[in-house]
Amino acid sequence: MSPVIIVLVSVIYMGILFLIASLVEKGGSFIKRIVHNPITYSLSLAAYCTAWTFYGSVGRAATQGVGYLPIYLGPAIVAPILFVFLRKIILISKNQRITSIADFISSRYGKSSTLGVLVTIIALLGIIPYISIQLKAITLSFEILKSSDVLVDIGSKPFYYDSALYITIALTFFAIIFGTRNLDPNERHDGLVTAVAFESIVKLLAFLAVGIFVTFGIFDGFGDLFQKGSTLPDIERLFSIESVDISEGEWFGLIVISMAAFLFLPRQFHLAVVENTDSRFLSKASWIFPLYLLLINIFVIPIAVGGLYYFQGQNVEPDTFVLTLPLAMDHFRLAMLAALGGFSAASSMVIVAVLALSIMISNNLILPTFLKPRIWKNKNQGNLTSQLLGIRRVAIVVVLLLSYSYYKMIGNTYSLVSIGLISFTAIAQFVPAIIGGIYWKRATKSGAISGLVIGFVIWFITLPFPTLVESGLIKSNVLEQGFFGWPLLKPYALFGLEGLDEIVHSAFWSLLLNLAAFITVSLNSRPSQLEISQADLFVDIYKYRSGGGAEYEVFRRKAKIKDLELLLVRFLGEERTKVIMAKYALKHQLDFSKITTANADLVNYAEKHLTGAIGSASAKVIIRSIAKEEPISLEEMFNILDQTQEIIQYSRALELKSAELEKTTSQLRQANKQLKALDELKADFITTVTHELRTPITSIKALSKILQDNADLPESQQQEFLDIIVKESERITRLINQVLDLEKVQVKSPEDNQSVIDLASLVQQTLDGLQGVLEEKNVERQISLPEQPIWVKGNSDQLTQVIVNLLSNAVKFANPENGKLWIRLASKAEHAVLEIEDNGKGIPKKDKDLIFERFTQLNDQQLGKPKGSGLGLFICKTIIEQHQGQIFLGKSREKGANFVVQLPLTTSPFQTSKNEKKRVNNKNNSDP
Amino acid sequence: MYSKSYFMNKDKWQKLIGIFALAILLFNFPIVDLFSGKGRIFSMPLLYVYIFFSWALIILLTFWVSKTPKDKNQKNKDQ
Amino acid sequence: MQKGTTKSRVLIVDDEPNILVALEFLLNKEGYEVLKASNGLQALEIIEKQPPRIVVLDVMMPEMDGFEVARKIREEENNQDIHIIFLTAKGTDADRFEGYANGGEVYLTKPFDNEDFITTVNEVIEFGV
Repeated sequence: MSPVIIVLVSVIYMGILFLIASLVEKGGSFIKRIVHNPITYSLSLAAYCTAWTFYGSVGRAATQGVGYLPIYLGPAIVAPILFVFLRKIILISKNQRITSIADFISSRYGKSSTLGVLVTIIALLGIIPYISIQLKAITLSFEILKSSDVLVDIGSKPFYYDSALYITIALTFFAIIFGTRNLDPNERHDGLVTAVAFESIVKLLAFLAVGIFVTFGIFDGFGDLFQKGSTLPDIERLFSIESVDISEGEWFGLIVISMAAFLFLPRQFHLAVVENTDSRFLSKASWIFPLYLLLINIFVIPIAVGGLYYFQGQNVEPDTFVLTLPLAMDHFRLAMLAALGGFSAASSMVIVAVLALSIMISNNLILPTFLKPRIWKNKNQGNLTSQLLGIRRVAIVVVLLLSYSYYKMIGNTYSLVSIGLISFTAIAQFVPAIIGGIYWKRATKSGAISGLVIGFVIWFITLPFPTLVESGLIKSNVLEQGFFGWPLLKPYALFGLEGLDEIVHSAFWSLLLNLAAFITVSLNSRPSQLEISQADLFVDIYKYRSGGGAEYEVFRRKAKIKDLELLLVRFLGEERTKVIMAKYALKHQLDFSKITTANADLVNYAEKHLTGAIGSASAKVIIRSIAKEEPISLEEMFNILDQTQEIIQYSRALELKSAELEKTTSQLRQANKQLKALDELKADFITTVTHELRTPITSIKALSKILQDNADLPESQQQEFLDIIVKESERITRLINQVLDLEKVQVKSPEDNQSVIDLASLVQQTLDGLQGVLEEKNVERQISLPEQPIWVKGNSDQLTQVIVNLLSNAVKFANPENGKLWIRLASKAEHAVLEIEDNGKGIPKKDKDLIFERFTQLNDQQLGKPKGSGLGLFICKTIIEQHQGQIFLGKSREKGANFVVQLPLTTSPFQTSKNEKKRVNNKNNSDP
Repeated sequence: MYSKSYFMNKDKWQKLIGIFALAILLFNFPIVDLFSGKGRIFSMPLLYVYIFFSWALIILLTFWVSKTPKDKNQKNKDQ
Repeated sequence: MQKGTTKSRVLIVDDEPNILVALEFLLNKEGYEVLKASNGLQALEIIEKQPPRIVVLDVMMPEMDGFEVARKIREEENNQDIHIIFLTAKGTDADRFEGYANGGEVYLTKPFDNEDFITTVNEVIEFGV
């Protein structure tokens, strides 16, 4: 077939993809609805099926039969619980604005930049071989199509003749165009996702077409195919597990690492989590995706069997059966379709994988290491968006170049599947840190780092390292002798474990020790404050998801709004910043022109948006440079000191400010407390009044109902009940009056109706008025009043009320057998002192202050229940205090209560007038 | 965005985990090994027929379990 | 248990004599034997000498409040059959809860309705609670 046609078809195909992507990105709500839907989502997940599936499955099936299946059974097994498990990861990622698997792990363990770097490096080293086999597959298919020869060798050509190089370049451009057109803070690429979903359809249809052609075109249906196949022992053996030599451990191990790979390969994480627009899609994806896997796998065995049968005796690479079978039958168009399918499988994987890796490289590797706060401080640098995109583009180029080099050096020595499985095993190292991270709060950063490092090292020495040795890149005899000459450290038989497939062997040791280190170190290390809060947030995401993480943030960070804005503009661009800030202002009803300091919530909000653009670790470092937060590690402290003096001064100023703020806050808190106390008092008052009202009303209501219902009651009883009703009604009236009095006293200012009064005559008058009551109670009185008037300034009605209250209390509580009262009035120094004492039981010490509070009644059993409202003494106290006086309990002669009232003396109202009279008289005298 | 009625009930949750457990059982030793060997159904190897049949069964079960409450939800919305 | 043979005995406890008057009248009319106490200690003394079927308890009383009286009643092994009805002006949910927590079985608030009160007492005597 002419290479021109092949290139042309490929270019047209890419053009279609690009058209789809740009249509979607520009598209209106209708197109969005097609894109944001569970089917597109499920199809995008099918990026799991790469060129390895397309070509390699058949190859592996041809040698291992059923052994190719665990790679697909793993995802199929995990699919039913996607909604249970992956949903949690999606909710966390949305809440935390996580944009990659490195971000996820780093964010969980206290936004650790170390972990971000570690995960990125593992992913990078793990994925590069994987990308290289895609390059290999595309190149192989291209060469086969071009020569139309089923036996091609693609290994030995100078690089400028090498179609792999041109394919790599084309894919690089493609990835850059798709993945780095603009910087979306959420790393959403609708166009890309749709293109990937479309490619999934293409590869499925292409594979099904070849499968149907082989099964029903070359053979006469499944029955015929298997029957003919069974006649050859090489094929017959594929139909049982024993004869293909797969152990239980291998089978299970492959299932486990493929589960991990399906969920945590950077591209799978990107498509399943970061690009997910609605976690409800998982519900449908949990059956659509395995259905897709089932369909694409149905014809793997038939194609393998068909190829082996058809090409028996020839040395045709089983990895190429999908292409070579149609070619051998001279079906060029079908071969072209198959190649296109393989290309779509490879390209979708490559594009998403390098995009995901470039995000990780720029956000977790480059930014935290090289950028630090300096970059935004430098005001000449303008918008950082383009710089970030530049970093991404460079990262894409570097990743693809590395993959190309790996392919050139090693790619030809190994089959597609074995290289792919090396990648899977690397990715499986993330499992303990992730699963532990979302279900186990005790997991710590140190634990995660230890696990990852140990797992990674073991993976490296047991898988990629031996491939380097075997391909001759490294000259060494460790494969036979073991590291340091120890037989226990043989890469393929670590610690003496032999007889396992090398992948499962590596997975077993690396995961076992990874998990052991993760758990042991976690249990023996102390998490930082931030780790604890992140752990809580990740594990209990269902609790926090509605509120966002903001109110949960343990740090009280503050920053200048100006700085915050400046920083956002640098990384997100002017327009987005405006929108983001406006949104916040609207939500919280703030006016940014009036406030200068951003609170913790706003700082967190800004950090979240920044995290979307540059990853959590970088965002943390950069935000920290402008926001004050505790605590800062020693290393970071040095970094900050390293910056200019300006920053130090600035942070001092911030400290001062926050101290001021704290002061204001405590003042406010104090005021608030007082207000609350007042409020409680008022509520108390109302409850008590209502209770005091209820008691008489109860009697009145019950008795009047009795009277109403029992017309035949004897007259005496009727009379008794009526008397009670009248008395209780009076009680209510009294209570209401006193409440009103109280209101009056409290509302009136003391200056109203004040005049100079002679307290002595006021007491005398009151005693005269109460004569009748006192006589009736038969209380002995000892009264000592001065002969001269005692002048005080005040309201005579109110003061009379005080005297009446005190006297009636005294009468009430005086000893019922031989009641005695002492009433004394005298002037002492600046004060008029009135004492009213009884010989009752007195007032217990503990109640001394209490009795002047409203509604305190002396409920002492021996005293019996006083029939008062509980307001009397409170009213007295209020009145006396308004007269600048005091009322308290004084010492008593006997046991009884001695109420003492002190009022300030004033000058006699007649003094001046007498003088005036004198003067008048003098005048008169001098002027006869 | 998430209506309250949508929250997966415990029942559904447990069913899905049950299917997951069933899948682990069906697709692993020793059960897989039972079907290995010379058995044929319509001259197709028993092992493949078994695996793909179980696979379809798991998908069907998942479809069934995850579908039902969703439909109810839809009806409620439409009313 | 005693129903039919002797008239059931009801103890009413309230520090408001006028309320006692009303309650006594209502219960007498219904045929109950009425005992009265104006505070908690008195009530407990009476219960020891002449255990009633029902105690109608006010809550806000001097010295010992109704909740405490109820608690004391329940402490005695012999008193488990006595039904306690709170009749009080304290009407919040918290009060109600405290009433039940302290062994009360019915919680009525003041001012009460005569018929409600009598019906409640009758029902408690008839069916228990």
